[in-house]
Amino acid sequence: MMSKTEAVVSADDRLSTFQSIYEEHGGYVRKTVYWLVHDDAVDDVVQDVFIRVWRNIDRFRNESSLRTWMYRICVNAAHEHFRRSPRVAEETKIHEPELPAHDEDALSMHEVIRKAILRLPAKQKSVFVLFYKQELSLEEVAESLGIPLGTAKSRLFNARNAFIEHLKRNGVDYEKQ
Amino acid sequence: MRNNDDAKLRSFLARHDMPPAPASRGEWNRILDAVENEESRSLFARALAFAKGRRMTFVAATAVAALLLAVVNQNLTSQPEAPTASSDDMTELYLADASQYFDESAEAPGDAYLELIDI
Repeated sequence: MMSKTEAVVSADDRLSTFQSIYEEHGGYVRKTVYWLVHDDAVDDVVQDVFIRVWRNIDRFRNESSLRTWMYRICVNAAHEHFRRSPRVAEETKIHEPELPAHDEDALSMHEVIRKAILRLPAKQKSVFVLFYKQELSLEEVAESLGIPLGTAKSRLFNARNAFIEHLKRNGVDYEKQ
Repeated sequence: MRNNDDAKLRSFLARHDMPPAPASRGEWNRILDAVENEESRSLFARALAFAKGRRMTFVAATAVAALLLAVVNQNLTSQPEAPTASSDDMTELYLADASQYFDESAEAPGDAYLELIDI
């Protein structure tokens, strides 16, 4: 059994490790979550990510790539958010109006892009965000999500087509922008 | 060809990127609060799992879990001996205080039934 002193030192070490992870990884965690959920959920999901980190912090120490773990946690927390709030997911899917063609002036290009990404199905969106926004390789994406490389490729292919199609419907040709 | 398309799309996305609103100053404190809540909830969950592992009815399991939790809480909240004049090092005070929350030996009753938490 751990001695009192060892337990105290371990607890202190755990907390300082946790804070270091937050300080080092908080920035890109927020950026990743931003592309996965709507504005009003970003803070909650980021918080959920770090609660999951806390739960699993002892396992992190043996991991070769903390970043890979962090991405997986971000994606899982975002999925959990939509699972808990199916109404939000449905509203995103069904009730969000299409922008009228060539009306991109109404929204900035950034908003058009974000909306197009947020409309992707959850599994495609995760792959798309990690590959195109976080610029991971396909192998890293597959590792982060714990899926076969072929599955990652297939999801990326479908996500990319859906994304470009959405842009086209809104009068945006990304190759000319 | 595909790599070229990917590079173009990445470049397009990067050109129109905008950083999300930065984290508020209180974010770290909110996370710590959430972790503290999480810790107290997980203690109860472990106690409940322990009781259910004994094939008790739900009501009995809940009662036993509450009892176990009370015992664990008793251990967690029992104050360590007041530091003597010779141990006035602030680090020791801090560590002694932290031990109330993180003394891992206090989690022993439920550990055998603790399922691995999937991230």
